[in-house]
Amino acid sequence: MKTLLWVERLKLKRSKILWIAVFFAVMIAFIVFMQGQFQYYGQRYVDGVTWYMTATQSLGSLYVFPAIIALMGSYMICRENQDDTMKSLALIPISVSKLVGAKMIMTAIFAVALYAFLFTVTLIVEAVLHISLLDLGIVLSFAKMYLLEGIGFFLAVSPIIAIVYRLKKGYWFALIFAELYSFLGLFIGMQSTMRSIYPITAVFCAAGYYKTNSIQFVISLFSLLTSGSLSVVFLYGLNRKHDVFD
Amino acid sequence: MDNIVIETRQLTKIYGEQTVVNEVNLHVRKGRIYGLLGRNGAGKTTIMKMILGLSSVTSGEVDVFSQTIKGNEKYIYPRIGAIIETPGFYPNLTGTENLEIFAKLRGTSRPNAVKEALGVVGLPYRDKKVFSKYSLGMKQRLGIANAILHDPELLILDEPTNGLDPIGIAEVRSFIQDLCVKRGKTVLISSHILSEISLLADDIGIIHNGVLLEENSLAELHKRNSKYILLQVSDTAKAVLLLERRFHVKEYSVQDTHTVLLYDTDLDMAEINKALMLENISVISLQLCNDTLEDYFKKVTGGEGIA
Repeated sequence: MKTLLWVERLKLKRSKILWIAVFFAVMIAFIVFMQGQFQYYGQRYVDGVTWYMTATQSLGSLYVFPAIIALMGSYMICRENQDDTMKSLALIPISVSKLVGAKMIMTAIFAVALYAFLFTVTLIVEAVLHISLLDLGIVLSFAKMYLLEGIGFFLAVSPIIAIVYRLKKGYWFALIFAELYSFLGLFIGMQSTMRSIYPITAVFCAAGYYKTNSIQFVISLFSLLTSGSLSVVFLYGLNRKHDVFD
Repeated sequence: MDNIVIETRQLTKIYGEQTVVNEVNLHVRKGRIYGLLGRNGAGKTTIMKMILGLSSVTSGEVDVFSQTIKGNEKYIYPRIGAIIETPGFYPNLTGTENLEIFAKLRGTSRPNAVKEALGVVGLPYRDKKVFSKYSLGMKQRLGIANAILHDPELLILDEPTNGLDPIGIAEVRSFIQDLCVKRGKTVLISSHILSEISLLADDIGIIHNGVLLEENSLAELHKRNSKYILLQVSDTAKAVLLLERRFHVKEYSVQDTHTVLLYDTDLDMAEINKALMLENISVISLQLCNDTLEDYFKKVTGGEGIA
């Protein structure tokens, strides 16, 4: 598995999707910053301590990042067929399920790295705006929230990655599906019961963005684990070469 | 039987209602180059895919190194290097990076394996050009480099010279011959180009519409090429009568009203000419001919021939 992960990392060299992800993260950070210039009772939103860090992750998570994570995951999985490398890999031989497993782990690492990058950007902005009001507790709680969201959104979109691979559709389908899926979270998030069930909003419950009681927290964790398990079920049985070649 | 590296028995592949490979019995011997010759769509790639276990077998059996591939992949695949159809690589990576990936996945222990493989096919090591910018010939070379990267005993090459220029084709040919002669490798190579196979292969299998029509050594096929005397005269009926009476000719075929082929090539052509002239039969042409391999293949494939 270590070798497969090393190989997957190398395959992403010069990949445009990485730059697309970075571009969107920076864009989201910039848009939220501009949005923060609006005033409420004579005070700019961005002047409220931690407003920027809170708003950036919620806006990015509902509009952009789940789609980017799904795009990345399905790109990594679908490219073996698209680049016609599957037959060369099969002749080594590489187990298709292990290969897909490595790609899913890389997608999870990518999701965490994406949120870590966003956290770094927002922390720098917050530090510039109100360094004196930030303490270690606040920083660590946001770090935890961002990182949990990285893992959570990976779990939430993982069935989409698996379905797109199963349907043999192009990876851009994953982007569209995930975009609709996350956008729906905007409305479901308004209902307190549903928000801990629907995987996209369940991420916010599990990460601590939404205030939850212990039952809602457990339900949200269960929802995300179910989502992750569903992707394993969809991907199950990939190690049948004839599925790929005949 | 010990020196048989690949053996297929009644190998058949059916897609829907179409039989693309029909009861093929193929034998590739150790240390030899086996050329699988056939027109495009004859079933060459499907046979190779079935041998490699990349495509399911409808019926029949395949043994590679006296074992079936299924269940023995981990032991057999490291002994095989292959190119099937066009070689697929990661477009955003250089040739060196692509080979490094496959070397790592194969667990190739030789430190200079990538450099050596690239050197053999004449591609630069640590070049900055990414695979998507490669020409068809360069892609093909990289495919060959990948096939030999782990120093396999058996090479299965599906039309490896596709897209190569004449010098490239000659280089690949010489390289494959070296692998076989100097390093004792076994090679199964497919092509639709007769001249290429006839220059390279020790054994030839002719496949046509999924059926293996002929399997023999190149030397044997050369022996079978028939020699004949081509005789073009004003009146074949009179000429044949004369030849039967005076020269006791029995093996001949009348092609048309002016052409006769004589298969007894020991006949004295000068004497025949003289006799025909004396009988007032005009001789338009009288020459000794030799069937080419291409003519032979045309005959075997029912007249369609191979490029």
